[in-house]
Amino acid sequence: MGYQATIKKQAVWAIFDIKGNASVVAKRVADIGLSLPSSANTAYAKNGQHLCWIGEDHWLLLAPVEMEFQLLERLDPQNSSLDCRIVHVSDAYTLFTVTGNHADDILAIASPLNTRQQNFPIDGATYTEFFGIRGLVLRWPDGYLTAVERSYADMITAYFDKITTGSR
Amino acid sequence: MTHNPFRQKAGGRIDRNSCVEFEFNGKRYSGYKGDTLASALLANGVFLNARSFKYHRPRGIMGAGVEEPSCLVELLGADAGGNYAATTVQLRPGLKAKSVNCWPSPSFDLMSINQLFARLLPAGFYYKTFMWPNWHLFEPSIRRAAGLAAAPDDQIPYQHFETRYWHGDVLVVGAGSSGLLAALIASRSGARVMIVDDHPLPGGCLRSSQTKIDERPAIEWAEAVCAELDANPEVTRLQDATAWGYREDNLLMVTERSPAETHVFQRGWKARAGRVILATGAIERNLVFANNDLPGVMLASAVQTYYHEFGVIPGRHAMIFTNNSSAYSLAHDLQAGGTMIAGIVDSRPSNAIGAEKDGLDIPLYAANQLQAAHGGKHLRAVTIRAADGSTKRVDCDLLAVSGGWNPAVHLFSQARGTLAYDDALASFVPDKAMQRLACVGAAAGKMNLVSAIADTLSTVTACLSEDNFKPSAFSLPSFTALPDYHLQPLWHVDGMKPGDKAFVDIQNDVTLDDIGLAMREGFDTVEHVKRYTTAGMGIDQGKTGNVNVIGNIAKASNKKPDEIGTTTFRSPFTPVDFGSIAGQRNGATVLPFRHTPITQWNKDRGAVMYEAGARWQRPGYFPINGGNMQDAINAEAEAVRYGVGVYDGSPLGKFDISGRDAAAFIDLLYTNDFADLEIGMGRYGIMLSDDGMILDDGVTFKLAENHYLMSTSTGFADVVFRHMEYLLQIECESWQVWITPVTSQWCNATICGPKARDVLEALGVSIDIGNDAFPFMAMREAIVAGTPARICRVSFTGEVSFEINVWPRHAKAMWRRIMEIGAPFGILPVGSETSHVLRVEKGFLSLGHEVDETADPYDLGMDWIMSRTKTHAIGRRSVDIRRSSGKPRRELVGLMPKTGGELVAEGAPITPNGDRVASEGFVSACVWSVVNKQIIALGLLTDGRARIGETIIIRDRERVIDAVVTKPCFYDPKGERLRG
Repeated sequence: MGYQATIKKQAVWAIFDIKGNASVVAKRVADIGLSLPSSANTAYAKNGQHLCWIGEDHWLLLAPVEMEFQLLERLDPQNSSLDCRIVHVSDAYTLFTVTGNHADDILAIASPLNTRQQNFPIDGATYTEFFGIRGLVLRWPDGYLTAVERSYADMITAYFDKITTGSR
Repeated sequence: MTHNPFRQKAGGRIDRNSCVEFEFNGKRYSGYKGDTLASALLANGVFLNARSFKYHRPRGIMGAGVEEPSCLVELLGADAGGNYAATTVQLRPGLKAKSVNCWPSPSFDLMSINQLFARLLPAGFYYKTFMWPNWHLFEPSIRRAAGLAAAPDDQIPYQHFETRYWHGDVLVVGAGSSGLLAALIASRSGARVMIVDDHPLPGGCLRSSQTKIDERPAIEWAEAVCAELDANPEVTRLQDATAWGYREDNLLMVTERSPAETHVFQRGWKARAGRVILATGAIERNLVFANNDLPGVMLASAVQTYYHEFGVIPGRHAMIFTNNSSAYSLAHDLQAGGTMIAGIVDSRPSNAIGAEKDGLDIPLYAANQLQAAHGGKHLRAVTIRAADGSTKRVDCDLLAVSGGWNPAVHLFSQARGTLAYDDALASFVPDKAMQRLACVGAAAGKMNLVSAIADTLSTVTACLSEDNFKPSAFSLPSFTALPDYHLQPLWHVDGMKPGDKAFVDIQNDVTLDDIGLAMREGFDTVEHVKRYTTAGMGIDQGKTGNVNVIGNIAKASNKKPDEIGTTTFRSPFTPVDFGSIAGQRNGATVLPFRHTPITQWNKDRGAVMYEAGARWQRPGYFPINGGNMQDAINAEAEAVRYGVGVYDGSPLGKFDISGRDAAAFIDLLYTNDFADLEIGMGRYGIMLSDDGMILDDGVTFKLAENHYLMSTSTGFADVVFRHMEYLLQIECESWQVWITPVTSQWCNATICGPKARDVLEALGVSIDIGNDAFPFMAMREAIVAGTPARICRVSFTGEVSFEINVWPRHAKAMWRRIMEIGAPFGILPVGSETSHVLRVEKGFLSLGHEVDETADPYDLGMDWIMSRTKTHAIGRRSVDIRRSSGKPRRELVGLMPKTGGELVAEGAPITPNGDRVASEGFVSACVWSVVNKQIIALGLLTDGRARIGETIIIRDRERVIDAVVTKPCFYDPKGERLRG
């Protein structure tokens, strides 16, 4: 019997790479109704948007693609004169959801991330190794959401096929 | 009905209702479900089933588990694999196995001729013997003769290997009495627990024990514990799984051989726990006497296992030879089972033999030794030597030996723990742990079950408390009375004759004489003895032999074993399939790969795909009907030179760079000036490493004040990113610069060739793309074919080029539209082979070819890019210092090789007069030029620019090729076409 998990490659999401001083960034994201996450490697989630704290003075905003043009307008990524940098990177990532009874098993195959709740809390969001490359992992209802650089999406799909079906 | 002449009518834990057919060395046999290959072979009376590694002596099965040193097999068919101990192979229908290291069969092995020359083949003989004329002349045949199983050729159908991680609080290795108890205590404390055991069934020695725990058979106690563990979702229990490697920070490597998921063949676990409990038990060791390797000589504990677990007694007339109390339980079992026992030879004096002998009605030869075993291909008799030197020959066909028990300290040692010698055990026990682990039970030297259980309870409880768990009160189970373990070490028997083969390491064919020889030749420390003789190496890792080796070194050097010390135990503890380490990283995913949105289109078009740096797969070329690769490249190159072509340039590295100090940062990175770059324009730049060598090149566009888009070479994008991050974090910490990789945010289709502008016009573009409005090296935002795009006028081909950059979500549609609109213009897709031709014609540099971390810009004739107007650029000072020496440098030149149309291998050396002497340069690239209609090349040649017009000589393997040195540009040297 294979793993009971549903793996879905997601359509494009609205994604913005945000760098800069935390206080400046906090003001910018407050404009779209978000707060900064309280600790590193967690995400602040609201209205389907996830603001992930992924590094020192570094955040990644994930939002439904329907919000993309609105966010482009309000975050103004073309404006490099501001005191923080917001870069539109929606197409640079491919997202997958892994859900179901065996979602933890799939993640344990893909990644060394310790997903025990005491180590990876309910609002956890962190970069980790994912099938040998760099991947962002967030908790998701009944499983996980993961984001990898788009160019690796076919490879990640091949891995998912392999581990769920045993194909070689 | 299964015909198993050595199977008892009843008994064992096999399923006698499930007959299993299998094949061994081409013959068919049968066994039962629950058998191992070893137990089934013994039940069938197949005792000669291996040949030794070096001398090709007849060998049989000696052990019953991972300690088996002798009978290694190769599995064939669906689960093909090599060097499995027959004792660890579970019998299954259709199993096919064969012996390793013998031909054509174990009973008639041609290489057994080695036995005739055994006196000439002592340890290290080949180091001394095969010196002349060259060791490598003999090496292949020696390796063939000594090798074990070959790597399997076949893939395993319908299944695959898998690796996965596990994180928890407590990892218990071993599911014997101590391991099960440890797991039980930990699980009841609320810990997340994994328990790993190498046997298909839990219980360890309890499976063969007649002991009662809590007034029921010990194995029932074990089964009840397992049931409780299985009911706890926080417990992972793995049977038929071996923890074979102990890494840093409590990371253990585990191979699970029979996962529940049917699509998984084997699973490799990388398990990390807050605390590791090693309950790995102990391994019985052999005794050293003449011919102690004959088939029919077995470890006493193994005989007991075969009897209790498989209902097999591998002999009719047994003899026991021991130096300790534990072997007596076998005598009791065999006596109760009605097997004829010729006697027990015990090297201990009678007053040292305790209650273990009570109730036995068999001859006991106390203070005697077993001097030699006799037989050809199977044991027939033994010679017993009394203390006074008198001998007696006794017939027997099964000799069970026990030289005492060694705690299985392999994992503890791998964890860098230190070992201490225990006089009472005459073995090494764990001393100081270097990681968060504890040893319990026999692994800790507690050889008595009751003391082992008590020690386990106290140790595990203390560990859990230290780890902030609250272990619940736990009362010790009750046991039936057990005799104490007692031993007197016997490192080898007395009275052996010269030439007797008494093995200390059965698997590696290391004899007592070899140890003596090593020491006589000065290799007298344990590590030297190991390397000289190979004792304790390889698959076996000294499981049954290591302590005997140490004991005999000690005896020979009149030292105590603790003065000798131990060698380092290495992983893997048991042989492991490479597949279980590689896991899902095989086949198509053996290496990472990256695709662009156009990759599938390229594949559908029949492109030959290559890796083109940084794991990107790009089309090499697009084959054409009736033509070869060169025809395809020529067609693509001609399309670009005389018509129009398009290539997918998406993999080029791209970085968004902004911030208050971005302009200064760009100027610091590149050797040329960027300060005067206008918004909307780009500039080619070269960046150097600290040592003044070219690191990368590329075009950087200025998007706004302090906002740039940098492009890098495909293969060096990550290197450049690291370089920039290093500078910002270490050298320019206070600078405000933000770098965001956007390689995958933008895809580009580069239309190039004299008709490129026509195709772009036909696509529909919202801006004026005339040369005045949109000059070379400019970048514009525009709508192309209805899609927002960034268009860059750069050229890597030497022709007019338009890079159309769009978001990847639009890339496929844009590409298809370009091909559709370009069709009337004769547009062709272009692969990387063609790009290579076009750039060589132009003399453009390429990383990995002309730039190999030894070249600076002057070497490539690019003096103009070394700005003298700005204060600093990384690497410039290093260049200046190096060049101030005035020493000759290799310089980029063009070459016209006279090959008659054959390409010259890239990397071919250029040597003075074509002699086999130190080179004066090399060919960095060589192509067929579609514009020059001849072979052209680029190369780096010492003082090359001063030698233009000279004929030099290239050595291409066996060819010697004349080539005329030219300027390194074969096409449009003024660059009029690309600016057109």
